[in-house]
Amino acid sequence: MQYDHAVIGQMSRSRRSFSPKARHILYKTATFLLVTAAFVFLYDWLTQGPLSGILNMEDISRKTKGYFVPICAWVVAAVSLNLVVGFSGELSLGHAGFMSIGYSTGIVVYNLLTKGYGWENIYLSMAVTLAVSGLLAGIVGFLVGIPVLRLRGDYLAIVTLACAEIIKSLLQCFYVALDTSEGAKLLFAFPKNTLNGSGITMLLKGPTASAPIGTKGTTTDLPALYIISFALVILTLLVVFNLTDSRTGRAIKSTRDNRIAAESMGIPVTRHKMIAFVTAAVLAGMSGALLANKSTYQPANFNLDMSIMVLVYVVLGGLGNVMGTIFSTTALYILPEELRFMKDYRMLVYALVLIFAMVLSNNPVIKRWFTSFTSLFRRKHSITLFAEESRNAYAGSKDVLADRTSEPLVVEEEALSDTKAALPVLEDRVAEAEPAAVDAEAGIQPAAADTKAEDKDIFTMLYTADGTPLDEESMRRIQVGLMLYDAYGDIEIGDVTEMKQRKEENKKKGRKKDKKSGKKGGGKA
Amino acid sequence: MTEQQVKKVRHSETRMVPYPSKAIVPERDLNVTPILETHHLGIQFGGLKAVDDVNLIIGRSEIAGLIGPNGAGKTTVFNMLTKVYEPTEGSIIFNGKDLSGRSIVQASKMGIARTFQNIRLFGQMTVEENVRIGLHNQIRYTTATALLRLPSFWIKEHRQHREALELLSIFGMENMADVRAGSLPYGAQRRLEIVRALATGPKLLLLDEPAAGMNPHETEELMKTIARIRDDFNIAILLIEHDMSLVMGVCEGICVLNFGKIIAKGTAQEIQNNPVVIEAYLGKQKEESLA
Ligand SMILES: Nc1ncnc2c1ncn2[C@@H]1O[C@H](COP(=O)(O)OP(=O)(O)OP(=O)(O)O)[C@@H](O)[C@H]1O
Ligand SMILES: [Mg+2]
Repeated sequence: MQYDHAVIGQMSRSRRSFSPKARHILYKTATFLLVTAAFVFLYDWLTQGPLSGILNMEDISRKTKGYFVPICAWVVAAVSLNLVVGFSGELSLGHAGFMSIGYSTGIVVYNLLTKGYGWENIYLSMAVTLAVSGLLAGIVGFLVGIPVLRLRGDYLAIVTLACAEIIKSLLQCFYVALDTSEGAKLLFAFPKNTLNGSGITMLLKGPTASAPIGTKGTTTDLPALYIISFALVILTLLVVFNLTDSRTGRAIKSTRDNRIAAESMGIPVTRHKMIAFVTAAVLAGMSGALLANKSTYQPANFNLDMSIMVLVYVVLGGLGNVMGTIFSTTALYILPEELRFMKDYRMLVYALVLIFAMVLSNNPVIKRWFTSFTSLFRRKHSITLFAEESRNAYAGSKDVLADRTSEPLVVEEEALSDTKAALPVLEDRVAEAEPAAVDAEAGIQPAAADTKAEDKDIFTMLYTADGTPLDEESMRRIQVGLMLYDAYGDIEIGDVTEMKQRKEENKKKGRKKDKKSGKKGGGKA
Repeated sequence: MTEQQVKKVRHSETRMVPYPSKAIVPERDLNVTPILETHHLGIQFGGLKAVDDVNLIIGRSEIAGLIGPNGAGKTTVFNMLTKVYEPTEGSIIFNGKDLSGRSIVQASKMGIARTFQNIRLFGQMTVEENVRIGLHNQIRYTTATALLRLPSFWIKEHRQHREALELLSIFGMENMADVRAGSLPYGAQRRLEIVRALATGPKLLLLDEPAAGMNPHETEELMKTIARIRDDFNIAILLIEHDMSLVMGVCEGICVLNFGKIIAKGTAQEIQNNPVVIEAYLGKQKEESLA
């Protein structure tokens, strides 16, 4: 079967060789560069700097100008939620809760600094504001995390949701005023507003909108806010990348991938889930404070809807995919804003677009397109490494298929497609096997008869057509086949019969060709 | 009797290979406290007594085997030793300390590492990252160090990298370091699990069917490697295996479990000729396994 090797050689030649490590560094660098480039371009445009002069771009509308800061805030919120959902693998439905803590804290701290203490420098005041907001949200995150992270799965999601609702309700009864009559003093009231008198400025007014931050006197200092927002995004990227690419980050990912194995390696699961959870809360707090630059938000906005919206950004961007999250957030923020002309149909169209986007991004064709795009960076090494075994794999999966369809498949060419053809069969089996595996994971005691399924690898669940279990050699070959499938993510998974037809057609064509040009490659050596 | 003598007598009762045995147990193990002792270990699931009255002693650098028919309770013993399950009866003394009430993580930190019958690798991560997770408690630095990318971060990361490659070289897997663990062939996944367990710096290594899914050639390689690991790392190894050629070839002491109870202990020779054991492996399995 010499031609197998030829196929592999051909496949790998079309791919550039980057190790996953190099690819990851490339991905991180690209993320930073993209964000920076976008910022430089937008900042220049928004402030009508030299670049837009050269490109002859007109001043953009006030409305469009207003996008930049909230997009940055949402990016920070979504990327931080991705830390919890994507990297630590826990579904949190309470992200808006931490954002609202930051939002309220931000308003109080910023106004205290600027109006109370008379700080002039907006960068300094904003830096302190963001730091305090993050800190407070982090503390709340820690307190919430203690009960929440003891739970798993759906329970955890529901409890985060409940915690966020509690936070929201409490903040809606929270009144804070700044008294500057003799020095700067903060006045608090809860749960009813008892604050009045002259010389006080209301900062938090319970359920209604409050005094915005990031202002200089009464006007918003936009250029400064742009820079601050950009800095916060960069900070978030640094935190998330530095955390995930470290000992702690690997531990976090390991608790997501396999809890029992992680614990057996000596990794305290709850502590690492907590690190991810609290870090995300800190960043969410900061993003909440950034959102407080506009008076359009009020405590009641930080509800389940908002948490879900951030979750949508994350899911569409890809779990664990930071760059994707940035893109999806930007797109999904701008979309409903630009749809405002549709009036009543706006949210309907938005929802439709969302469904469309989700379906598309889950479409195998699109996925394949993406894989073939990213596989530009795939590594040759890992493919040729297994060339020897892959040859067996073809043979192995061929046998399996032959057993299953109880008539031998015509396989003389395109050995790769045999593995490919085995895949639908495998996937069926894996899908069947998975519930058992999942139960075992969740600690549910399987019925005595099912225990075997729990203990064995799922692939031992494969049977041939006549009901006998597959021998270990075939199983091993299928594993290699799957590995190959991984390596060549763009192999199409086709229907077995369709594949057969195509192969027969190819064969006919091949024969004709062979007759003309003499035998050349193709058949078994 | 002196205390020393009492200890010796007790040990010789529960040891798999009663000593003084025919020099199969390494000489150096005879006068030091064993790495693992279990006393009347048992666990009950509802009405089912999955493991009952298991007494084991494993020397500090012994390779021991735990065998038995399917469902005998072998994996359950492992789960108790690693504290995945809390035993309902008896006690486990590891390295002179009682394990009761300790967590899985504590057991790992004390020096028990294991592999899983159903492979539990971190499939999305690379081979090297899997090993690095094993090194989590061996080469440490704080989260703050990582966030700030302080010099010690780079130093420790580099040390982790070097150490991981060195461990992978045990199985000659260093050239696969950058491959996604989930995409490895079956046998390689099993080997990676062993490497990952070794990375935690164990004193006792538990291997649950390490040769499952391997071909005879691979199994033979594995056998040699297990012996080498014991010599190089000077640790104790307890392994569960259905492949009798491996068990008989590498284990110094063997313990046979059936329906949760120990039915025989001894050297490979003794086990192979023990009528009770042959009885337990009835019919087809007997011919297959003990032939
Ligand atoms: N969590 C559990 N709940 C209920 N019963 C269990 C549980 N874990 C194991 N058992 C039972 O304990 C018995 C022993 O199972 P165990 O997995 O230890 O067998 P084993 O010797 O490892 O078998 P194999 O060789 O097939 O791996 C089985 O009858 C099983 O049903
Ligand atoms: Mg078992």
